[in-house]
Amino acid sequence: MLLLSLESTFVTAQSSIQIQHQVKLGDVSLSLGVWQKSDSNVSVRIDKLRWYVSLPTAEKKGCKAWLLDLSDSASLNQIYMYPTRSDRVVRNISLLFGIDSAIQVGGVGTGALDPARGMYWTWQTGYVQWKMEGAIRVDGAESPLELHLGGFDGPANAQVLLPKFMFDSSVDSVVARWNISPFLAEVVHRKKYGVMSPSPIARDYCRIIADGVSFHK
Amino acid sequence: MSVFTNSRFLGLIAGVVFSSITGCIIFQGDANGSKLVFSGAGLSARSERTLIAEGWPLPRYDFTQNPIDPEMVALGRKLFYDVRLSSDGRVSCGSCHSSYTAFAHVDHPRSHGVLDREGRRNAPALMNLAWQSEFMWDGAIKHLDLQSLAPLTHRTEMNMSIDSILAFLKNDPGYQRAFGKREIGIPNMLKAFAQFEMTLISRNSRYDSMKRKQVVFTDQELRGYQLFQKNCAVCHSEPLFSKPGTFAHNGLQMDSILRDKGRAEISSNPADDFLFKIPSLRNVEVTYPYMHDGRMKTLTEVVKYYSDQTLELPKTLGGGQKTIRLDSKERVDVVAFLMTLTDPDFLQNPSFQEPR
Ligand code: HEC
Ligand code: HEC
Repeated sequence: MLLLSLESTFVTAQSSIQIQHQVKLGDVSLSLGVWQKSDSNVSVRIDKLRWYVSLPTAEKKGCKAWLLDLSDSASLNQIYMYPTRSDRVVRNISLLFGIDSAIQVGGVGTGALDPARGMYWTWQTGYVQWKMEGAIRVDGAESPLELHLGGFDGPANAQVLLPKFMFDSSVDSVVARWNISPFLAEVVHRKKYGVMSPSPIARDYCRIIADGVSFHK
Repeated sequence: MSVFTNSRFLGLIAGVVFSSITGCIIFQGDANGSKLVFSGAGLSARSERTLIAEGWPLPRYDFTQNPIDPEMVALGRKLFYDVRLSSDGRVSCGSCHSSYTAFAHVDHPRSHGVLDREGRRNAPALMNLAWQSEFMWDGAIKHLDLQSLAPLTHRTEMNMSIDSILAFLKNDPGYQRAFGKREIGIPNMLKAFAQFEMTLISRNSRYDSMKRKQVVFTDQELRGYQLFQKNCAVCHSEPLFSKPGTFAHNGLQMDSILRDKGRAEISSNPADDFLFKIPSLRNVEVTYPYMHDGRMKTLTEVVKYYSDQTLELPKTLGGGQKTIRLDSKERVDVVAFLMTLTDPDFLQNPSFQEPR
């Protein structure tokens, strides 16, 4: 803890690590456009999955946000820059699922945050942080799945800090595994297959998505 | 340096010049009004401060992110009046926001967009937007730069997709010229809209002249002003005659068909039920019909409505109740005062009209 809190006074250089994002249904990789089982009585067909990770406010340096898109494998390889200190052996990755509220209300974004990327709620301020479209079958009954999740204000604040991942300097790439099975189980449990605006439900969904994230060497 | 507009564009601001900053907006005050002058470099770091006018708060807009530049203002104006940015090629921002009526949509209780589709709310007047922090009747939009995306893509307004707008702008020779050296993209388009909108500053009404001691109110106007300060100003506060960032309920019952809950639709907080943005009353004489759904046609009707009300003040205004009682003579006085908020220079400013 002491090490972390002293971080800023000792910063000497920037290093980078590659984070490879993978989306899983349990142990199986999620593929777009095909029906896959996510539970004994549940299967899904995901046609589109795009989401944001960004740097938490305190660590904002250089690139602020990454738009990950399951249909674009290059986007899933994120280069994460972090400050290094000469005397420090342990490093960590600290990422936010979603977009920091200061950025959300800070005006027009460019690059990954260009509203032309289709992740902006045009009728209100804010970025969709998880856009998942497709269909879901529960006990044989099919429903469209349309989850545009996000929100940064008050009870609808959906940004979640991902668990910190510590590593040593010998590591130059890690895998971030997004296991969405628990999330889909919650969606089935709540029977809310269409969520299109910030709300407490969207917030809860985002928290469960974040709980399913783990980092691996 | 280029002079942006004619000398009666703004109210009197005694020469606020920040010469130490390279490139800033400079107000040059004179007896009739003042000039808004841009330097080539646009605004720099501390530039919000240069929009200072006597008795006015500082603008909320952060100019460092989008420094005012005459080319961008011109681009924004071109975009604002371009019907090709709508799916049926007939609707521009100017269709619902007319410069002659302070950019409100006169005679239309609720807005009319493409294919005569009717929206749910009345198009508000657009002015002094740099001083506001939240936009739309429910405050759904928290930054002016991103506001224009809403009407451009809304089904009942201009009904375009961002992709089709982008393709159109990139392929149009006029826009290739108008963007100049800037990248033709959504971010620059949005910033241009905001720049044009920020120039829509109204502060040269009879009321402003009175404040500057250039004219004296009639007895009736003065009585109306005092009644206004007593009864209305807690929400419609001088000098903007609104209350940026504040939502309130002025007692209107919900329309049973439109079922508009206002602020609560955005905040999902029941305490915000029926709270709406407090509209500015500048130029209110010409912005009829009134209220978020355009349910009232005349100022007389509005003031009559208010004349026997006990309103709940929101927490942000200190809570408690505000009781308003106005007899028929007082009502006429209040209307007389509201008419002093009309700013003919603003309504007739050629640089706000469709470019030819
Ligand atoms: C079909 C009519 C229509 C068109 C076209 C239209 N608007 Fe509006 N405008 C409205 C309505 C209605 C509202 C209020 C919406 C709400 O509260 O939900 C509004 C609100 C606004 C506001 C917020 C004002 C405030 O004080 O909160 C701005 C700014 C604005 N419009 C700018 C524009 C721009 C820029 C365009 C063109 C890109 C445009 N409008 C096109 C009807 C229209
Ligand atoms: C409690 C705060 C409050 C008080 C006090 C108040 N208003 Fe309002 N006023 C509002 C709100 C909020 C709206 C928008 C309501 C809506 O559309 O639902 C509004 C709307 C208006 C409008 C319509 C403007 C437009 O562009 O549509 C006029 C005119 C107006 N008020 C005049 C007055 C006058 C005159 C008084 C004093 C007699 C007054 N108001 C007192 C909050 C207030």
